[in-house]
Amino acid sequence: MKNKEITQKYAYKVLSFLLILTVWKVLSTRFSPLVVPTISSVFESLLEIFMSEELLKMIFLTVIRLLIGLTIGVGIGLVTGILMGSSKIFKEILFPIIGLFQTIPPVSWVVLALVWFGFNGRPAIFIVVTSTLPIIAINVYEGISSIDQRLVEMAKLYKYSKEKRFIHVVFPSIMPYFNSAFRIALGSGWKIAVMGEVLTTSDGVGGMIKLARLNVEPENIIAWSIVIVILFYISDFLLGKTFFRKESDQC
Amino acid sequence: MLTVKLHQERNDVLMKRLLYLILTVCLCLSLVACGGAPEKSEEKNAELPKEEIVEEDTNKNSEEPITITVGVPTAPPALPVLRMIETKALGDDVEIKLNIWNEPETLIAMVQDSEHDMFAFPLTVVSKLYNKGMDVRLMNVNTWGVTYFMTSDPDFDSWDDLKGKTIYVPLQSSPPDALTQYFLEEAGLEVGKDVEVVYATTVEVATMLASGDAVYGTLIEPQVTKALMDNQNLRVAFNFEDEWQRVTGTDTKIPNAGFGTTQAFIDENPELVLDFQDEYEKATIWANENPEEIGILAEKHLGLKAPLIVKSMPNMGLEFKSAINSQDELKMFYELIYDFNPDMIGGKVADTKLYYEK
Amino acid sequence: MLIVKDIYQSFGELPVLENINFMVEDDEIVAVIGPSGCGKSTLLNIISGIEKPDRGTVSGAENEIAFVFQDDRLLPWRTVWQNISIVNDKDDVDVIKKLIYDVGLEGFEQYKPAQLSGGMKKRCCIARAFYYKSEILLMDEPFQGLDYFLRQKMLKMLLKVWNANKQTVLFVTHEIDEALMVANRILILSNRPSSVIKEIKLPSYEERNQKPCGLNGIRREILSIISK
Repeated sequence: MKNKEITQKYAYKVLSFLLILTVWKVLSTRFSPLVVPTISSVFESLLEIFMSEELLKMIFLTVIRLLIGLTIGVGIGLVTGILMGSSKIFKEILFPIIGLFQTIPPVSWVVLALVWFGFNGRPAIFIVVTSTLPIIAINVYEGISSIDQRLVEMAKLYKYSKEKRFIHVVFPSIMPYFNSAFRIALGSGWKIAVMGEVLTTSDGVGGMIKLARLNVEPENIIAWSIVIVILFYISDFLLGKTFFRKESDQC
Repeated sequence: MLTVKLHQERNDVLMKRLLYLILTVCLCLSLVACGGAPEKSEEKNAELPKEEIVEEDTNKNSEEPITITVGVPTAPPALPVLRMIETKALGDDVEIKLNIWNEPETLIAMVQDSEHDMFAFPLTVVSKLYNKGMDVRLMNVNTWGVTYFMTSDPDFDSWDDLKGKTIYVPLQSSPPDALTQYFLEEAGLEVGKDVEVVYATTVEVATMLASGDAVYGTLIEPQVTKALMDNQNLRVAFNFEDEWQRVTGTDTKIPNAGFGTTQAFIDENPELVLDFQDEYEKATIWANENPEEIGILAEKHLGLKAPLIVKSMPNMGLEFKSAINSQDELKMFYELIYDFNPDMIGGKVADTKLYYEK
Repeated sequence: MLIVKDIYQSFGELPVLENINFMVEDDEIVAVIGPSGCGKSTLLNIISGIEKPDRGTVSGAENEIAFVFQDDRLLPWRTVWQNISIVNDKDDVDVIKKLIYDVGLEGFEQYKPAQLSGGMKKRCCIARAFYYKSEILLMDEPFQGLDYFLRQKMLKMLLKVWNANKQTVLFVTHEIDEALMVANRILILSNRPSSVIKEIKLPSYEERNQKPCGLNGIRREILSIISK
């Protein structure tokens, strides 16, 4: 029974993949390869990427920048979210500032970041931080605000120590909020990191996309975009595994 | 009774929500409609003149005004066109419209859309587009040399002094970049390992060299003159033309950029293209002889500072030579880059069909 | 001894409890009966310290209090076993095992509240309350949702545990028969705003066992008071 379910699930995935390929093939016959690159040219580019140490290094750079940006963003976001959740004063002060981070377009941050950090990878990291921070902060704040007060009352009545209260009431209440926020931040983080790279560096996946644009190589643009999609799926998968494990942790 | 009242209230809320929804949808639709309309009329205008030309191709002085949309940077290749606009060089009924590109990417996009007719091309870009299957044609080479290596380091002497340093280069994957990398490799330096190359826009490189944030950089006119004015410690270390002659063992000049168009445009307007080529040559000569006037035009149309143009005119390398007549230099240029990094010119050395012939 | 004195409580404009006065002796089981919405849960919340009354005092409730809430308040992300064991610092495995057996949840130790029925959740709450050694035990409709046999079983268990641990028990119920079976005294609350209309002292357990029909009179009396 279970095997059937698994095969079914993968069958649908394969089907949708084939559908994309078919549409692509049709489009590539109707348009010039400068507008719709052929499947084979993109495939060749992908192979080239995965077989070249130089190009794999580019992927590594983007990954590193994303990780650093996410770590800083999550760190600051957590602290901010907790502060906002615990005190009304902090909430009133910090909320508008978080709003700024949400609404100021990444491109504007780029200009400032270039001045502050220079033409290295740091503006790209900075932009990832600006996009991650509000997502985490707001969701953690929401999580804290939504803690079931009745459970808190029960915990107080049964004289749970502060530690117990955190481990058994607060933390599990906030986890779903943090989890979904982190997943969202990761997804948009890839896009933002690459965009930051396109605007500020000549390396990393973004730098490669920029170069492909300059050299009129649309097949490379698509190939590198596919790389990012693959990286996203891998990271999302790994994330699912770790967080799933955490939930069933026995205290 | 209570339940009836509740139902009524619920309906009211629903009606309110529905009203707001309809309002929002109407607003969105009206925005889309208004946004779409002007574009449509522009398209119609652009199409009309071309049709006219096809019908009356021998009669240049038709009743309908023709508009040629030209994609140019705020750089030397644009200057002769300014003169042509002022004198209506192609006739009273031919209007030349300028669209500025600042990054090669913008230019590449302009060539691929259907709204631009002629372009100032860095030679690398026209080669890439040609090799990728676009029917572009190079009409002439209009800038030679024009690229310099600047530094504020008084001890800088030769290319290998750059070991361990960072240099700033504008126009990634264009001739200044290609040549800089070529000269570095020739001096035995590996980009990325021995020298760090940072790409930025021409203006950014100029600003950084002027402020001292960048100690070494490649730059083109007229930014070179401006940067020198802003920073007393800055000097021209190398003239790329001299370096080129040293490397190739010739006394030719480096071709840098030129004017071009698409074969489709040539087919539809053969007379016009011929006229353009001739008038452009005349305007180029005039510009070199009348730097003050061209400076004024540059300020008027491109927002460049007139005195700066006047001062940098002699170094701008503005000189007309038809593409056909520049074949040797172009071949040398393209082959040099091909040996070095074929991606910069689109994978191969273009054949002579790239050059416009009358 | 638990002393509840001059309690007044309103929710905004709405007065709920008025002039509540009663006492519960140590180790007494007192049942509180009253119409729905009359504030019985509010009363228990005030006694447990969760709510503060507008006026009045509660004394004798300073130490540990166990509470079986009307809305369970089990940790949704912990198992039956964990929900019970968390209330004490050290896990007394045998005691927990016995409690789970006594409330009839054997086999469900690793289940999470979402996987349990309403009645099973209630039983888990009861086990938790018993595990938490306390002087006072408050229960808000603890046997609601249980079928007759289970309810009988739970009431017997309550008496057994009470006999072993001797706690002061105050519990709220709708079921008069529950009170008649287990309680030493019954307090009847009026409609909103509630006050204690009547206190009925019940005969001892031996008497009740010997003369079960004797309770009928009390039952009638309670019914007539409530129906007004």
